[in-house]
Amino acid sequence: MRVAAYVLSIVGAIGGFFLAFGAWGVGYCGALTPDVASPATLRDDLCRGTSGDIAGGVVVACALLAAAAPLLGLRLALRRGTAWPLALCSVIGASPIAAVAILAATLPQS
Amino acid sequence: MTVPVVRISALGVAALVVAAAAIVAASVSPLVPTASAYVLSNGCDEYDPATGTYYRCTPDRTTFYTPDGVNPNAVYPGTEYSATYSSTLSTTKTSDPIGIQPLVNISDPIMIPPPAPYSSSKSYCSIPWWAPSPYSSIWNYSCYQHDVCYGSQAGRKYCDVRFWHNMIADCKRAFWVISPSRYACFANAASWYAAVRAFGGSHYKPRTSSFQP
Repeated sequence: MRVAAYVLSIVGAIGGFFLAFGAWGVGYCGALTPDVASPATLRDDLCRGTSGDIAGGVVVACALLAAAAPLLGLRLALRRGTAWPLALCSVIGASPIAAVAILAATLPQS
Repeated sequence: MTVPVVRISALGVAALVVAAAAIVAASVSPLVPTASAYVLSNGCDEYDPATGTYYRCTPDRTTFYTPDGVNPNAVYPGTEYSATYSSTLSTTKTSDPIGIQPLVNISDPIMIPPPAPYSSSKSYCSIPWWAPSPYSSIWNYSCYQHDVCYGSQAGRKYCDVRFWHNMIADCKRAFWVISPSRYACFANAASWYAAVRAFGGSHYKPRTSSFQP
């Protein structure tokens, strides 16, 4: 169970960062590309300036949660002597970054 | 009677010297890796022991294959337009001379204004604050070239593999072959390449003014 939790945590960290940087940073905000958001658009608000920095912080927090949740689940699982808290925490922890990826793919670009 | 004792002592000293040298070599070698540990026998492929990653050279030995196995020098301008823009621009289809892509679209970029010139004071990689890269400064010109390539509609796959090619060249230029930074640079380049391949499609748009790269 410990090995599973560590593996899930590493997968969550790598996958979470890939989705945060790839889906949000590159896919939605246009990092590494010449495409910049037009002023006074939702994309401009979410990707640039102070509000963009805050949105980026939230995205990073979601990625970190995906990495940390399996470790919390392991703690609960060891205390209760069953594996289901590990599975539940991993799924719940991965949900926010998955939601970010879905939002990045569906929010209007302009 | 003394001769054998002298012989044994000499052998013992020799054995001690050899053993000491072996111990020193074994303890120092992981700390000071030799170039032969990283550059493989063909003199071009490289191996990062920290991550267990092989970087396989292309046949012309000028760069590495991309992480998804593409030879950057075998992808020609015009390869892989995004559907949105290939339909709005005048396109012709022609055979790919090397057969990687069954068909490639060659667009007439005559309506696209020329790019803005490179400015070293400007950051072209435009990465967010929460994903900093220690290599973004050495890749700034590569980012500019990638931006110009996208804006010129030179083919998204072509632009992305050139981006990989240029980042690897920058890493090789900046870091010596036994430097761990060289392999961290390669790994970072791989993540940027993967990100633009997977998520950059919606930003493949023609340049609208000469103020843009």
